Amino acid sequence: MLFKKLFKLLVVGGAILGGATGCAAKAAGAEKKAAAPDAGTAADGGAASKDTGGGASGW
Amino acid sequence: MIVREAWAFRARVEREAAFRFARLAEEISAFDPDSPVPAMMRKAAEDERRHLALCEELAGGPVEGIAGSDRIAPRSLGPREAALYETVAACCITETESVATVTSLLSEDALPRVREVLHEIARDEVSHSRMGWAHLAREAGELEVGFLSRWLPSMLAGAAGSAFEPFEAEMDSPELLRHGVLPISRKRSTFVHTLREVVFPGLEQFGISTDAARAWLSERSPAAGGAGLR
Ligand SMILES: [Fe+2]
Ligand SMILES: [Fe+2]
Repeated sequence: MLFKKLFKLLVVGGAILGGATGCAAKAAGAEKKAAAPDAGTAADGGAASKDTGGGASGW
Repeated sequence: MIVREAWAFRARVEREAAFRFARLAEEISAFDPDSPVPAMMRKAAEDERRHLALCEELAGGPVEGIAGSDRIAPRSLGPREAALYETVAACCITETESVATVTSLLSEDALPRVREVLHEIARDEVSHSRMGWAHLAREAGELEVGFLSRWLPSMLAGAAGSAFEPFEAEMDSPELLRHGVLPISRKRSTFVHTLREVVFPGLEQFGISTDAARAWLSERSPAAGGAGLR
């Protein structure tokens, strides 16, 4: 119950604040998109396999 | 002792977030000048500095440093993708988890000053989470955001910290709730439920697969349990 409310408040509410162009475009599937440079084609070749990401520490 | 350490850790989390949001505001406005998100990020950076002072108060004094590292995006990503990575990790995941944690704490009987602090923080964390979903919604219309899928386990590991590691019995004491700290078993279940019911469905809505993230989570919490008592 609480989680359903959080989903609406945060995810849905946030997307609306963003202008929702993204959402609408996504649903329509019509928007032209740039490929992310990280589609497995890192410029630094071999180093890519060691490439690591992290997370943001939280409470 | 556990209580003070928990609030000191939170103080470092708040400082880390303040740095990150101030930087992301500049990065995002460089490629998306019409976005409402940079203004929200600047406001969030101010909020986090205020939260830092509140956490220091409950930690019993000044706290140095940041909790993790300021820049968390993989180096192979371009600037725009890196900003999206950080925003998803910090806002869609970590701030969403913060809202759930603070809400959960507020449903318990905390000491009066602790309650006041939690209330003030709860109000702000809602908008910190929303600004992440706002940015993701905008970027999903411009970029192929599916590249984030494979990075979700790294983001989750950073957000979870030591939550799934073995713990001392005192870390699971219900007495912690009065001081604004979730007993570890409750912290885990809140973390897991928030991912499964809010964060994962949210990401999937934008076409980001959560298969790797769900596998990561199942390994750690077969029944939302994780490692037990040390
Ligand atoms: Fe905060
Ligand atoms: Fe925050």
